[in-house]
Order: sequence, then C-alpha cells, then structure tokens
Amino acid sequence: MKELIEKLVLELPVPDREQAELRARLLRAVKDGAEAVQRELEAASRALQTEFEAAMKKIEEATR
Amino acid sequence: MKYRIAEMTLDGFRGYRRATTVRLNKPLVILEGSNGSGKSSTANGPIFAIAGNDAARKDLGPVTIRERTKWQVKNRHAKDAAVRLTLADGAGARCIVARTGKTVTVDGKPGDPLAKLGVTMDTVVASIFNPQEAVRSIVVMEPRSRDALFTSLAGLDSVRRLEDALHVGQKSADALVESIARERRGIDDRIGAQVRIVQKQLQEREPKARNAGLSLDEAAVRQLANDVEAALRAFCESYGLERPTLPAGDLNEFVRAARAAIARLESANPLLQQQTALGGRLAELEGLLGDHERLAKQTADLAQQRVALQETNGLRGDVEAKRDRLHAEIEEADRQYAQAGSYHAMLGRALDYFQQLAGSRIACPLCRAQGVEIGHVREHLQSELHKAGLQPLQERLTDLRKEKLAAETVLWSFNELAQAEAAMSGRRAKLDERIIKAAGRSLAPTEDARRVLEALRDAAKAELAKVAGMLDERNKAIAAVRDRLEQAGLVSEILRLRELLERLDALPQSSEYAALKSVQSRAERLASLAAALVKGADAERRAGFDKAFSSNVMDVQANMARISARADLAGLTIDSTTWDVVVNGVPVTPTLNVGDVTAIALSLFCAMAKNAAHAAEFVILDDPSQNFDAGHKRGLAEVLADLARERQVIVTSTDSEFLDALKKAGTVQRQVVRFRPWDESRGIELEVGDAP
Repeated sequence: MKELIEKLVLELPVPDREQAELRARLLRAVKDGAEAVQRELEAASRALQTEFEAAMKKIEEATR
Repeated sequence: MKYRIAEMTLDGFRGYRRATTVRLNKPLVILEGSNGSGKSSTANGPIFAIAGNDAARKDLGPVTIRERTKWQVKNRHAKDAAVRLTLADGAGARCIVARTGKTVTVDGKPGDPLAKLGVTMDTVVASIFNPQEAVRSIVVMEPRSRDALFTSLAGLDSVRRLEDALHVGQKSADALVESIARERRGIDDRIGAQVRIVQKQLQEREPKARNAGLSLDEAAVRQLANDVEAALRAFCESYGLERPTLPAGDLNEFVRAARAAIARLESANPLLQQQTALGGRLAELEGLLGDHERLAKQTADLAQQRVALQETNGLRGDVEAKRDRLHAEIEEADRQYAQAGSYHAMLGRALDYFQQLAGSRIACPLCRAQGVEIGHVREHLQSELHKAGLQPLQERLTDLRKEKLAAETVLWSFNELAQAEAAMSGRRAKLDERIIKAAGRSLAPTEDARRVLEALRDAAKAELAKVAGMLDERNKAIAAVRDRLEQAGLVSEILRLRELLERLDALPQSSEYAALKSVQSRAERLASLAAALVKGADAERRAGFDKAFSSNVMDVQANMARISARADLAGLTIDSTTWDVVVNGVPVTPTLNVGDVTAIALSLFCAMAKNAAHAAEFVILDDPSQNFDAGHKRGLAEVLADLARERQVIVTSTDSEFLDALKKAGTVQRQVVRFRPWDESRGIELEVGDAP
C-alpha cells in the first residue's frame, strides 16, 4: 500500500514550489498510511483557509 | 512453504468456555451443527489468530459487517481470548501461531503471522476467509455495493480505503475552494456596493461645497483650518476660557478634535447653569405668589362665613344659653306629659269597662247624675278623655326639641368654622416660612408678603432676561465658530470620500487583492491535486480488479458454470467502470437473481483462493449456501470439493441439503466436525468424525 500511495504522490504534477513542498509532505506522510495523507491534505486546506481569512481581513480593512 | 491448519486450540474465545482442541486432518473439513452451536466462532478462530483485532475492523470487507462491528472476541468467563494454530506443510514442517489477547507469537517468539504467511488483510478477505455476512451483503445490489463487493473479492480493500481517505482530503479541499469562491464573490459585491455608496455621498456633498464657495485645494483647506482655529481662539479669549489644543496636519482629525472641544466648552457653559438656576427660582416665586393668593382668598371666605353665622344666630355664647334653656323646658314638659298620661290612662280603662256594659241605667261617675244611660257615661268619658288629651303637650314637646336641635346645629357650624380657621392659621405659618426662606430674610410686621414676593419675582425675571441675552450672544459667537467648522467638516468629508473611492478603485490591483486571488488559485490547485490522487487511486483499484479478474477469469467462468445452470451467464465478465456483470458486452445485472449474484461472488472467491500465491493453503467459508436452490448447492459442493484437491477447505453450514451434497461431492477426503447444540453452562462443545 505504501508503494501505491508513493506512486500516486510521485505522479502528481508539480507546477510550483508550493506544490513541490506539499508533495514532499505527502511523501513523508506516506509511511504512516492513507489516513496520514488525508490529514496532510486537510492540513493544507486549513492552512490556506487561514491565509485566505487573513487576506480577507486586509481587504476589508482597505474598504473602510 | 504452504501451510494448512493441522490443529487449533480455542480458549475464552467467543463461546469457548474451556480450552478445546480441534484437529483437522483432511483436505475438506465440514463444520456442522445447529444455529448458535459454535461453527462461525470456530471458523473465525484462525482469522483472529492470524490478524487479531484487524479481523474485527468494521470496514473490513465489502460492507459493514454486523459480526465485526461489535465483535466480542473474549467471553465474560475468560481473562483473555486465546487461539493457538498449528500450521503444517506437506513436508512435515510446522509453524505455531498463538494469540492471547493482544499478544501474538510465531513459533514461540513475538512475530507477525500475516508476514509469515505472506498475506495482507486484503488477501485474507479475497482468498482465505469468506464470512457469512459477505455472502449476505451480495443481496445489496446498489452499484456502490457491487463496487465494494467486487473490489473486496479482488483483494483491493486497502486501495478502497486509501481512496476513501483521499476522497475525504479532496472534499475538504473542494469545500475550501467553494468557500473561497463564495467569499470572493461576497467581497467583490461589497466593494461594488461601497463604491456606489461613496459616489452617492460625494454627489450629495460636492454641490454643497461648490455653493458655499469652498475650494478643495490644499492651500484653501489649510486656510479653512486656520480660520476655525482663529475663530475658536477669539471665542475662548472673549469668554476667558482656556484655548483647546487642536492637532495640526490631518484635516479629519482636526475637525473631529475641534468638534469634541466645542462640545466640551458648551457642556461646561456657566450661563446655561445660571439660566437653569434662575428658571427654577422664578418658578418657585410664581408658585409662592399663587399659594399666597389662594390662602388670602380662603381666609377672607372664612371671615365672611363667621360674620354671616353671627348675624343670623348671635354670638356662640348666646346660642349656647338658648340651647341650655330649651333643654330645661323640655325636661319640664316631659314631666307634665308623664302626669297627664296617668289620668288619661285611667279614663281609657273606664271607657273600656263601660263599653262592655249594656242596657241598665247607672249613675254617671263623672257628673254624679243618677239613672243615666250607659251611652251618656260613654260620651261623658270620651269628652273627658279629649279634654285631658295629650296632643297639645306632645306638640309643645316636639317644638321644643326642634328648637334645641336647631341651636345645636348652629353650635356645630361654629365648631367647624373654628377648626377651619385653625387649619388656615397653620397653612399660613408654613407659607410664611417659605416666603422668609425665598426672601432670605424675616418680614417686618408691616410688610406685605405679596408685595415682597412680587418684587423678588420681578428681580428674577430681569436677571433671567439678562442671562438669556448673554447666552444668546455666546451662542451666536460659538455658532460662528461652528459654521466655519462645518465647512471644514464638509471639505474634510469630501476629501476622505475621494480618497476612499480612489482606494476602492485601486483595490483590484492592490497587493492585498492579489494575495486573495493567489490563495484562491492555490486552493484550486490543491483541490486538483487531491482530485488527481483520488482519480489515481480509483484507476489503480479498477486496474487492480481487471488484472485480478482477468487472471482468474477461466476459473470464475468454470465455477459459475458448475454452480449456476444458466447458460446465458457463460462467459461472464465484470465491468470495472460500472461494476456491472457483463455477458458478450451486454450488462446483465438487472436480470440476475440473488442466487446468481451470490454464485458469481463465490465463483470469484474460489478462483482467487485457488490461484493465490501466498503460503496460507487453507480457505474458510462460513455458511456459503445462503440464497441457493438445490442445484446451486450441489454445484457449490462440487466446486469446493474440487478446490479441496489444492487447498484445505473449511466450510460451515446448517443447511442439510448442502451438507449432504458436500459429503458426497468429488472424491476428496473429508472430515466432519459436529457441534453439540449450544448450552450456556458448557459453552461450545464438539464431536470430531470422518465422513463415509
């Protein structure tokens, strides 16, 4: 199974540095199984959510 | 090495109350007994020994399996569940797998039985153990269930779980993308709305500034602020106030600070306090004058009442004397009335007597005339009674009493008047106290309180008018400052709105907005990446299935031909995109009955088991003949007997028709393990024997 996840992750396109970093994190998570890869994806979503909220806050400040 | 189960010892596991050893010495082992006798527990024993709690995972197999969702491996009488397997290969090599609770050993040392046998849980599900729930789940014919069933039977359960996990990750990324898109639309809408509001506000304010001749260039704005400051300084100097410090530079801040400073100055305006105090004094004096007037009128009314009472009735002493005289006269008249009353009563009794006499002549007791008629006596008595009548006396008494009552009424009026005069005197004293307090001095006996009050009121009025004048002047002065300030405020607001509009217009090109777009595009890339992972896992699973199925297709079709008599299913395959059963390129899923679907699943399982390359050379099927007719049961028995030529096959069943078929099928040697009916006090008990 580890090999399969590894294969899937390695086949991912890497358009930029961020994606490359994410792929590296996913590869590190591979050894802990599918749930770890899932958690990594969820963590990436949460990080972007936080970043998005911060960007929104700045925009809202700029419109006051 | 290829291992078969030579012996298993179960203790405390499920229904086993005491250590029980089952020796398996034939390639086909039939576990038979009534429901609840322990067949399935025995069939589960090797799986528990090999996989432990992993065998109890609820997601193991095609659908959630009831027996495994709350799988009780340990019974309540035992400290731990223990299963010991003795595995033997054809060359005489042995391997002991023993699990007690969470502790597992292989040949007496801690080890991994799955690794020893070269299997994974996927292969256990696909080619070693077919639990009765798996067969039952085949009844569910939804595409998702077929997908899960066939995936599981092809040994790809873990790929399915990976796909599920990745799908959860993908859903979270998709939700993020959706939420960002929504928020982004929201912020764009808000910016648009804000621009419209600002434009409207500017449209309202700019004409006002133009009409007031206000210029918005920097010098004019600075001059406006200077004007406000100068006006404020002049105002403070006029009224001896400390000049507030106003911030230089930003006009908005200057206007805000100036407004606050003016509000502070006005809230501490002493003239306003004076005006309030004088208003209060004037109201008090007007009140005192009103009270004084009312009291004077009421006093005059009382005096007039006294004069009228005395004119009509004389002085109080005269009336008292009259009352006393009348009292004496009434007493005398009462006495006379009592005397006359006694004589009158005697005459009455005599008349009653003579009224009863009749006929005879008698002497009149009054006039002494002899031989008179009784009627004469009666008339004489009635005349005497009239003469001695009480009426005049009674009338006199009545008159006297009336007169006395009138005198007492007059005296009561005198009392009432005296009380009213006393109360008036008290109120007068209190009013005098208030007047003295208002005047701030005692009044001379000759002074008229009314005049004093009027003088005080006029003085208060004059003072109030003076303060109002001063206040008006001050208001005009501050209004001048305010006018300049409002102009500055208007200019400052227009400048602020223009700046905001510029910022809003520039926002889509700003770095903040670029950051927002960047996060959005990164989230979209993350979602595509997660989707790619899910797609990859899905493709891998379908490819894995196709590979597994194609490697076993001949056996699947052969098994199917033996189990099911349907010629139209010969040459069946399974489409891994729709998970439909397909014959000659045509999906036949809708035409399948439950028995046929079960037959397809068991055909695939038996083929996978036959061709499996791992070291576990045994297969366990728990009650596989469910949903089968007699023909299907015979066919399955033949397939299993055939499989037993290559693998050790352990089958449980309560189905006598299927058990008969199993005992007769093929030529392979077989062993029957018979279980006694369940007994709570003894637990699972068995008999071991060989079939004929």
